[in-house]
Amino acid sequence: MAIIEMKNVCKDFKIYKRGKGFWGGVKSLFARKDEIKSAVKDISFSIKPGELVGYIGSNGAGKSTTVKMLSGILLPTSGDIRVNGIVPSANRKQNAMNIGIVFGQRSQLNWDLPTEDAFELYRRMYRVSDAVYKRNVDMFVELMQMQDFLRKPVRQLSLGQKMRAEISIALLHDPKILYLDEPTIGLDVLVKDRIRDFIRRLNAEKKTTVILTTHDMTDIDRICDRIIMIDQGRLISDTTLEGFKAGNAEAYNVIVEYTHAIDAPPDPRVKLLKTIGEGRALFTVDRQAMTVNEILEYFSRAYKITDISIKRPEIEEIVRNLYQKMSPS
Amino acid sequence: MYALRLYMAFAKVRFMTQLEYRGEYFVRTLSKIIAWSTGFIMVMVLLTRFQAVGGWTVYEVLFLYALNMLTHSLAGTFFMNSFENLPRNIRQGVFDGVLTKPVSPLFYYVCTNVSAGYTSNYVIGVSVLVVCFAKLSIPVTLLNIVWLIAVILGGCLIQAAGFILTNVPAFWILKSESLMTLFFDDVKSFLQYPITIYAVGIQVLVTFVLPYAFISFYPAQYFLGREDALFHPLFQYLTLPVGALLYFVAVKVWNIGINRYNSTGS
Repeated sequence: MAIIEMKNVCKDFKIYKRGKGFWGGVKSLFARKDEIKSAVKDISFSIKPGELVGYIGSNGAGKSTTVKMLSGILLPTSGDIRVNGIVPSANRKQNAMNIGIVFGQRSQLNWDLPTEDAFELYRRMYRVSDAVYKRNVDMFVELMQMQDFLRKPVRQLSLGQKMRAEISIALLHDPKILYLDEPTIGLDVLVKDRIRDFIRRLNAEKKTTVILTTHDMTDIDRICDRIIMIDQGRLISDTTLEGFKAGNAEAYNVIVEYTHAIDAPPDPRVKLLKTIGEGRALFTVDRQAMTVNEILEYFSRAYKITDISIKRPEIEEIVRNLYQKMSPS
Repeated sequence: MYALRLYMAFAKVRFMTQLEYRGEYFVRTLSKIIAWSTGFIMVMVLLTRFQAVGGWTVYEVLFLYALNMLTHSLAGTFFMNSFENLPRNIRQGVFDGVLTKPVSPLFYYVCTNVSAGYTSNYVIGVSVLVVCFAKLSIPVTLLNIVWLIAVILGGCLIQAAGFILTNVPAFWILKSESLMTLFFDDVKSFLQYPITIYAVGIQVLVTFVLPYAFISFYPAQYFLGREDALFHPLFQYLTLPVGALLYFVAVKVWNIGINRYNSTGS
């Protein structure tokens, strides 16, 4: 049984084009041209309870639009969305009970309220029972290390503290689904780590389904089991994290340390990327073209090797290559 | 019960945070007092010079003024801050959070934007009404008190609908601040005097198109025992039904509007 189901979902926005300069602006006061921009085009996927899904794509690919449709903020132009069996935009109140939502770019917290009071307000709104409330607050405060700033007004918190509070408050009512829209944006490495660990822990203990959009590929690597990638509103890949790495890493990175080169005929399948100081060089080899055996064979003929490493590229690099191949954003 | 308790919790937070910025609170209260008292003073000055406007004496015109002010302040407590800022909240995407809560969006939006700055207005409005009741020797019967409360409630609903309907277009056109100025603030300034002094067109406007005359003019006719209106004398009893109808329409339009919300890129 899928907990999230998107079937042929499209979302169009109407954009009013304004003429250039002053006279263009005056002209468009009377005759306005509008243009339809498709932010999401025919996307379908289904997510099972407890999955940790990374939803990636370049800026403007349609990630946030998708999350906003799933959370009931936006209505799809066409297509069918079911979240825990209901249509989010038609049953906003009911849907809100099933989801927790965190926007990294926009705070949900009341600026003037201490974090603890904001928790209380949300507890009342979501009708969280005393036992559940206490258990969750204890768990979140401990795992996110929030003891020091619970009594401070939100406006005095650092970005990292605020984000920890945001995530905690979104989870007070034990939602089945958590949407995280760029939750680690602008945070330092330690806070990022703490948040990543927390989300994995939450998923292990409560089986929370997570959809995460981010530009930080380490987030994806550390949190997600599955990657859905979109570009210009279209779904272009939907695989497991391992499948994504294996399927899209077209080349091996080979680092060779050697005492000297032997005069061997150059192989067109092996490309020298750069030499790193004396006796060290980085090559890239097409995975389809050569097996690891052949690679080892080639380098042992071409160099007197002291050390060699053959690596698949990191996820960051894979994604960069994919984005570059796709249209510029 | 849940709704009431939740409202109390939100309102408490709103009042506390507004009081936290004490300077701002006092300045705003003062500016409200001055804005509304200059209105009173204008009426007083004009009427002491001319004795009457359209046959209405000083306290009769003040009665009109007080009804408008009191209902405006009561409705404004809930709908002013929320709806005045609605166009901005829509443009900046702040409205996202309103649509992801387990309570009705209108309820949540109003609760989280309750204004604490109108307390002085209640006092002034009620005092002026009391003075008018005394000076005009309107009998203080149980019926009259119940009727006054019904009229104030109806007036509040009309005012609330005005706040909502003049700002909800922001869901379609994003920038709509001038609509409120034009169709609410400007048109309502006709209410300062009995509408019988204006041309027929204006009386039609504030009765049938933007029925603000039901806030003060028509109900005042009942209390003052007047029948000088252009239209049917029955109109003086219609404030509550008109208010209920307008508010109902406003909520319907709001519900259509929130489904047109487009958020912002982030």
